[in-house]
This record gives sequence, structure tokens and C-alpha cells, in this order.
Amino acid sequence: MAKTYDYLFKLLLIGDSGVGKTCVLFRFSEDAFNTTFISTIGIDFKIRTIELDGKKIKLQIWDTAGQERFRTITTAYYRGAMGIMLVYDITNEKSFENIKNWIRNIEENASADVEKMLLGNKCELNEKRQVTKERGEQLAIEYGIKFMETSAKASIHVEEAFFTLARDIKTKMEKKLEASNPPKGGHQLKSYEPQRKPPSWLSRCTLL
Amino acid sequence: MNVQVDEIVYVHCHQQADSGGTIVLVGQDGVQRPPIHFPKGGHLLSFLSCLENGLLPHGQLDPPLWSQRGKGKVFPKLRRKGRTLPSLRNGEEAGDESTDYVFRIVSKARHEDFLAGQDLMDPSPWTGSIQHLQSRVRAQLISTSTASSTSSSKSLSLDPGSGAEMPESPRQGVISNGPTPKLTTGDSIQLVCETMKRQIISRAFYGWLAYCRHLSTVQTHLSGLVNQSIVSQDDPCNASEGLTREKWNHMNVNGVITDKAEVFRLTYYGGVCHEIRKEMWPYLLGHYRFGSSPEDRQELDLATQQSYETTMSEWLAVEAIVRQRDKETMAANLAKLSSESTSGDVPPPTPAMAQDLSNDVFEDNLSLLSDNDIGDEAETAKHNGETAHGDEEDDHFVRCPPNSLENNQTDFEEQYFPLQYSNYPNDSGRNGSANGKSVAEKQNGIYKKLNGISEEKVRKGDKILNGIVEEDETTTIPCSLISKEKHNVDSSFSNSLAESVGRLVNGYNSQVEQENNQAIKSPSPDEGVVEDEDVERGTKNGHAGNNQLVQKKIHKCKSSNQRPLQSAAVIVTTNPSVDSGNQSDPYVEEPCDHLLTPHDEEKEGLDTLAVTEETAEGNSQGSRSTCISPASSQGGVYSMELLETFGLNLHRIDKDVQRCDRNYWYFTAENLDKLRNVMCTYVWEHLDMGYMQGMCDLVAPLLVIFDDEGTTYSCFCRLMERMGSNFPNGGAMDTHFANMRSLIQILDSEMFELMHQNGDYTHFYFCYRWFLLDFKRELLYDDVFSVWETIWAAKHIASNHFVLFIALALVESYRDIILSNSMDFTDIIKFFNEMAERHDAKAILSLARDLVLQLQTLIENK
Repeated sequence: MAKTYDYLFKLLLIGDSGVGKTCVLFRFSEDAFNTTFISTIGIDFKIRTIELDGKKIKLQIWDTAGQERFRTITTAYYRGAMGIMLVYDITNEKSFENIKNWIRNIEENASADVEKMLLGNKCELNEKRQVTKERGEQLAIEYGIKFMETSAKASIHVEEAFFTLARDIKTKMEKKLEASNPPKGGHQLKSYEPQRKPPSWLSRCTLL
Repeated sequence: MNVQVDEIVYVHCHQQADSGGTIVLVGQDGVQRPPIHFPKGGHLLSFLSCLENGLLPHGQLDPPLWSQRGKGKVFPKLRRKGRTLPSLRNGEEAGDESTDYVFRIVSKARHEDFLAGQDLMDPSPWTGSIQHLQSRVRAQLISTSTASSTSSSKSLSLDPGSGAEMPESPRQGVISNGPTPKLTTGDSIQLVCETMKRQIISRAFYGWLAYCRHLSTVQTHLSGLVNQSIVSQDDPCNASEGLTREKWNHMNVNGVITDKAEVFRLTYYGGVCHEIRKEMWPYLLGHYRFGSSPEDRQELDLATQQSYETTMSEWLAVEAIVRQRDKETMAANLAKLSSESTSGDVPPPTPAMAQDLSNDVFEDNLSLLSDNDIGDEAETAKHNGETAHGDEEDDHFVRCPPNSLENNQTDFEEQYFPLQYSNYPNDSGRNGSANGKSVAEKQNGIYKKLNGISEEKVRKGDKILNGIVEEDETTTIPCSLISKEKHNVDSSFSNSLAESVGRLVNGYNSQVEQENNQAIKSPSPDEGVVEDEDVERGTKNGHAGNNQLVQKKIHKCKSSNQRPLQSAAVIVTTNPSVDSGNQSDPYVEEPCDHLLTPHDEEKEGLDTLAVTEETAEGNSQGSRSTCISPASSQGGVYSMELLETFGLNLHRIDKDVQRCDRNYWYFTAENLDKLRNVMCTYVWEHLDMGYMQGMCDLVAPLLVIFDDEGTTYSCFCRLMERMGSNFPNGGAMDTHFANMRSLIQILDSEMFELMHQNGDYTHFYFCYRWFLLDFKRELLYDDVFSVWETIWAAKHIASNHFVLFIALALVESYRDIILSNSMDFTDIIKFFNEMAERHDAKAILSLARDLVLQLQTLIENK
């Protein structure tokens, strides 16, 4: 089978309802914006293949329903996720406050080493802003994750956000790969028969 | 029940035409074992065939079963005529000899062989009863240790409809390597062969057991999914045309529809003609009863409308408070933000930010404001310079209907109304300001600037207000008047409703100001006693029309200065004027219209607070003399908790209503408001459940059909009786998934294999949205209508779980694509999400009906 990509990354978008998850995703996957979006029910995903350092990376991005009540369904998807975008709405204080809860949710349901990133969406609505950029940055630092303000409507930083997340996942993955498949005469940390283990990325990334 | 095969000499078979067959085993001693009943459909034959195989090579049935090509073993019917049964006893109590057979079990082997065989055939019997097969049979067969299976399970009827008992068969066969006596070489070879044979036979036997298990799964698991009786499409007439206007008129005898079965049948097989959906759907949903007279229905509609309005007035009052709180919080946030504003790229917020939800609207209003030259430009300018407090003021300005200086004044009257109305407990001011001191101080500063203006306004308001208050206190409208002046009452209802709501808001609002406005205000009782102004209550005669003074007491509970907002409680008491239950003299009102009227001025119409306030302000002017206030029939304390819960729900509803089917022609701003009202009313009545995403989607098609809030609300309640449990925590979704799984297993084993092999399928999340919304998002509006009505009718005609069959039909329609691409769970989710609104609904429905029939037939075993 012809391999159309080198890696497959599964990403997940979470955040309160109405913060613009679907719009961010739509912007990234179709490069378009639609004001008549409906609320997401259940779960959906979009795919876009990007290229990083000569590697084709297929991003499978899952979009979830925002209302807490539906968490039981969405958490089922946390497990397979390698990267999670936490989205809030800069014009909605509450959605920012809830990021804490979403992080807790991730800690409870996702794998421990999942890459996370914080997005303050709708940044084109600066005049209605309720959450300053500083607070976003502060929170991101607190959790040790990256942060960006985006606008799906004005197409600001959406690409960058996904590329950043993808790059971080890739880096982390390659580091792991290196650790288990050290270069010859390597100074690997693991000295215990590292080559016996099959390349771990095989299990991490689905290859066609 | 244990049966030792070697003790059995005769096998008596009795076949009854109507209910399968019975086998009686008779031992050497002539003792009959308890009969074993088989349901219709060849089970008896299968059993005998297996028994025959099991007896080989040492024994056989006499006469042997015949083999027929293609069909495997056949017996009685095909061979009975020409043969004389060699049985000694012909157990034909039922005179119908042709269906009764007796077989003898004979040993064809020599005695020694027989003995050897006996050795092989361990005397300890294995037993299996169908009921236990599911999980235990293998273990039992292997261990051979279960000496007896509960014979009580015999009585378990797997197919309640047919009355036949499932095979309850204690089956005997002996498979085990018992102690073998001294064997010759020939014997050992033979033994090996025997063992192999036995294994083959036992495998075949397992096959039969699996078949039985399979059927019993169908029957137990799925028989509940479809109705027992099959309603034909062609009897009494072909129903594929559906319920046409003509047929409907024909059935409609003097406005009474009685033939409910026929209505359901026509709907199920052919749908309802679009133009009669509006009158027809309430029947389908159970809102109207079949056989009800037009008068009954009219009465019902009135009652529905009235209770809907009552409920609506309740939540509108709460909404007003919630809105106010929101504004305060918002103002506080903004204040915080601006005071914080450290970063260069965050410009200080403008007053426009005060509106949470209708940001766009605000701009419209601003321009509207200036266009209309209300005469407050100077003030407006001033306000615009302000932050927190200014915003509130602004809102009031902005929401005044244009071209109406009067209204504008009224606005202020309303706003300051409570100041004069009574000695308002000032302490509450601080309660109202969520963010405590800093905000209060800020407001203080702002207020100084506004002081002059306010004073003036208040003075102005004073005069008018006094008049109003008087009226309010004295107006009593007798029943008769109301009935005479229905129209008047109409508007008075909404006016007063709106008014009270408006006051509530303004009262609340002004309290915040009061604190900072000692100069104007009456002395503030710091002890914070709950103060009751106008304690006079309207006479409560339990008589609806009898009326009541508009009395509203807005108190702030004592809650004290020190405590923040959380501790504050707002008490709103209004004389109960509308009691939904016992009203003999229902209003004929359409408050919605009234409520919505001012709304036209708002392009987006998303901010209902604005609507409420506007209405309040706009209408209160006109008809004070007819102030009846059904606004809130239950006075009482709105706890903080309630306010918070409902507030949270409101925000969710607003978010979803705004983005509900905006591409569909029906959903203009005005109609979205109707949707919102219905939604809020439902949630208010079901606060424990709360709003959940997807509910709007369910209301929308109903509203499109009825275009009437009351009916939509009532029908939505009916709909939710079934749908409610699909939502999270309802538990029905898992049941749906399990049923889907069983159905696919039974009806499409190939698909089932694929799903199995791709693991994750068990979750069936790809049908989550299907079940949650009854396929509303999968289909175009016109198709949604026909699918929905089919689902509703199906309950009475074919299946209470028709949604399952539609889902199955959807899967089956694309089975080739799914199978050939060997789609996994993810693929299928994506596939169906992309296929949304592209399905051929007619074909899907027809396939779904076929699937129901297929299952019904399977269960009936016809």
C-alpha cells in the first residue's frame, strides 16, 4: 500500500461549548470560516496532512462537544490522543476559568505524556475581550504548556498553533525513538539491551 | 434432567401443526420421561438428526432418518405415507397418525462391541439445557460433571408469543474417555477412530447448539424490539400513499378523528402530507387525543397556552435578575481588566462590551440611538466615557424604542421606580456588586459624574411614578371586565408581565446605585431587615380573573454589607394572579407577540434581556390602568443556587439557539426567539435535567411545523418523554448500542464480523448523534419530518424502537462500501459525518420497515 504519510498524529480539541473549536478546526482543515456553524453533537474529526522537516504528518483532529455533560463520550477519545488543544474564548471569562477543569480532565483520562497547548480563540474581537493575553500566558506557564491567541474568523495563528503542536509531538516522539534506538556507540541512558525493543514509534504511530 | 441414552428404547415424536413438536423418550422399562417440547421450525428434526449421529456407530434409529439432498436429514412428513413404522407402540393419542412417529433405538453392533461402546460411553451423562448453553454449555460438556441441570428452567418460555417452549432438552450423549478395558490392537485402532468420529459428531452437535443459541438470542433479546403482530401495508388499502389531505378529511368526521389505527398505519407506511402535519402531529405526539372533539382540543390548546405563558412569566422574571447579575459581573470584569490593563495591545474596553451576548446588536443600537435623537446625547457621550457604571446606563438608553422620548423617560422612571416606591433597603447595594469594594468605589466615582443627571431624572420620574403607584395599588379588574375586554387583557397581561419584570430589573439595578447615591436616597437601614412595601395583597379568590393589584415586593434579604453577592437573595413576591390549574376563564393572549414586538428593532434579536426590558419599558407606559400581574404566580425566594443554575442554562441555550439551523429559511431572528422561549420554558420546568446540547435541534422541527410556542412546547415535552433518556446520564444510549449490536449480529453477520474484527466498534459512537437527535442532523428538513412521523407512528404499528431499524437501514444501505473498504471505527464515523444530509430518506425508511418485518418474521419463525 502506498504510504501517503510518515506519521499519523491524533489530536483532540477540547474546551467549553461555543469557544470556537469547530471553527478553529474548520479553518485549519478547509481554510474557511462559516458563521452558521451548528453545535457539535457527539464527535467528529477532520484530517489534514502537513509536512515538517521533510516528513509527511497526517493530523487526525477530533472535535468534541463542549458541554460538560457530554464528557463521558469525549473522554473515550482522550486515550488515543497524542496532542490536545485546549481552547477558550477571550471574550468569555468563564471559558477561561474552565480550562483548569479541562486540564484536570486530561490528567484523569489522557495518557500522561500527551502534548498540550492552550488557545485563546476569537482574538479578533479585541473590543469584547475579557481575558487578557497575559492571563492566558500566565496560565500556560503554570501548566508548562505553549500558548497562542488565535482567530478562526480572521485566520490568525491557527496554522501556527497546529504546526507547533505537531512539531512538539514529533520532537518528543523522535527523542523517545532515539532513546530506544540509539545511534551506534551511543551514549544512551538506557543501557539495557535497547535494540531488543522494536521501535516504539511503530506502536505510537499507525503506519499504513 | 438427566437421560441415559442407553436406557432409552423408544423415541416418540408428536407433531402438532400449531406448536412445533414434542418428543417423549421411553425407557426399557416402559417409563416415559418427561416430554421435551420443541418450537416450530425444524428443531425437532434437527434434534433427532443429532441424536442419530450421536448414536452411531453402535446404535441407530429405526427407522433411520432419510437424507435428502440439499436439505440434510428429513423426517416424518416426507416419509410417513409409504412406510409402516416398525414401532411396537404407536403413541398416537392425537388421532393424527401422520404426524406422530416412534423410533426405536436399536443396537446394530455385536454384543462385545456394544460393551466396548458402553465403556467408551461414560455412563455419567452430560447435560445441556438450552438456557444454559449461552455460557455454560462448553464447560458442562467438557467436564461432564454437571449431573443435573435445573429442570425448573424448563418452564422458561423464550417466545411468549407463540406459546411454544424452547427446547428444553436435556440431551444425552456421553463423551468421555472412561476407563477402557483391556483392548486388542484392533480395538485400539477402532477406539481411535471412534474418538475421532465422536469429535466430529460433537462438533456438529455444537453447531446445532449454536444455532439454537442464536435463535434464542433473537427471541429473548430482540423480540421486545418489534411488535408481535404484523400490520400489513395493504390491508385494508395500500398505505404507501400515506396520509393525504383527502384521506384525512375523509376520516375527519365532524372534526373528530377516531380511527387511530388507520391513521398510524397510513403514517407509518406513507408519511403525512405536509400541509396537514400541523393539525396531525399533535395526535401523533399524544398532545391531542383521538376521538376528541374540536371543542376539547380548543380547550386543551387554551390551557396549554396559558400554562405555557405562566411558566414563561416565571422564568422571565428570573432571567431578568440573572441578566442583571451578568451585567454586574461583566462590568466588574471590565473594570478589573481596564485597571489591570498593563499590556499595550489591550485597549481599554469600551462600553459596548457590557453586552455579553449581543455584541453586534449593540452597535446597531448605538446608531439607532443617535439617529433618533432622544435628547440624551450629552449624557450618552458622558456614559460612553465611563466604564462599568456607564455601561449599565447605556444599556437602558440603547434599548429604548426609538422615536419615543416618553419611553425613554419611562425607562428612567422604571429604573428609579423603586427608589420612590419605598424605602429600599440600601444595604443590598453592595450585595449586588459582585466584585465588592473596588467596583463599588469605582462606581462611586462614576456616579458623582452622573449625579446631576440622575437627580433630575429622578425628580422627573417622581411625579409620574406617584401616579403609577397609585394606580397600581388601586386597580382591580373584575372577572367580567376581563372577559369583556379580552383584547385589553391580552395586552395587559404582557404589559404587566413585562412591567413587573422590568421593574425587577430596574429595581435591582438601582440598588447598586443607591448605595452610592446617598444624597438622593432615603436613609439606608443598615440592619438590612427585609422590608415589605405594599404588603397589601390582592384578594386571592382562587378565581382567576379576579384580580389583583400588581404588587411586587422586591426585597433584598438581609444578607448584610459584609457578605458578597453569594449571600444575597432576591425575593420577588407578586400576587398570584394566574393559577394555571384552576382558571375557569382563560385568557386569550398572545404575549409572545407583545414581547417580541419591540424586538424588531434589534437586528440580531439575540439578547433577550433587551427584549424583556424594552417590552417592559415600552409597554408599561401604555396600559398601566389595566395592570394585572400574572407575572409570577409564585412569589417567593429565588435562591442564589436557582439563579446560578438557571443563569448557566440560559447562557447555554443562548449559545445554541444562536447557531441552530441558521441556514434554514424558517429561523429568522424572530423565530429563533420563539425557539429560545420554548427551550427556556422547558428547561425552567426541568431544571434538574437542565439544558443539554441537542435539545434545540429537537425543538426546531416541531417549531417549524407548528409555528406556535405553546403547542411546540407541549409536543416537545411529549417527545422528550421518549428522547430524554438518550441524553447523557439517561442510560438509553448504551441500550441502543447494545441493541444495534444484536441486530447486526442477527441480520448481517458479515457486517458483524467486520465490526468485531475492528474492535472498537462496540462503542457504536457513529450512531450517537443519530439516536440523540432522531436523525435530525443526518437528513434534510423535509426528510426529518417524514422520518420523525414514521418513528412516532411505528410505535403503534411495528416497533417502539423504530430508530434502531432506521439506524440499521443506514448501515445496511452502505454495507458494500463499508465492507469493501473494510472500514474501521474511525472511518465509519467520518463516513457518516460526511454523508449527513445526503441520504435517500425514502429508501432508508423503506429499508427500515423491511428490516422490522424481517425480524418479526424471524421471531415468528414463519
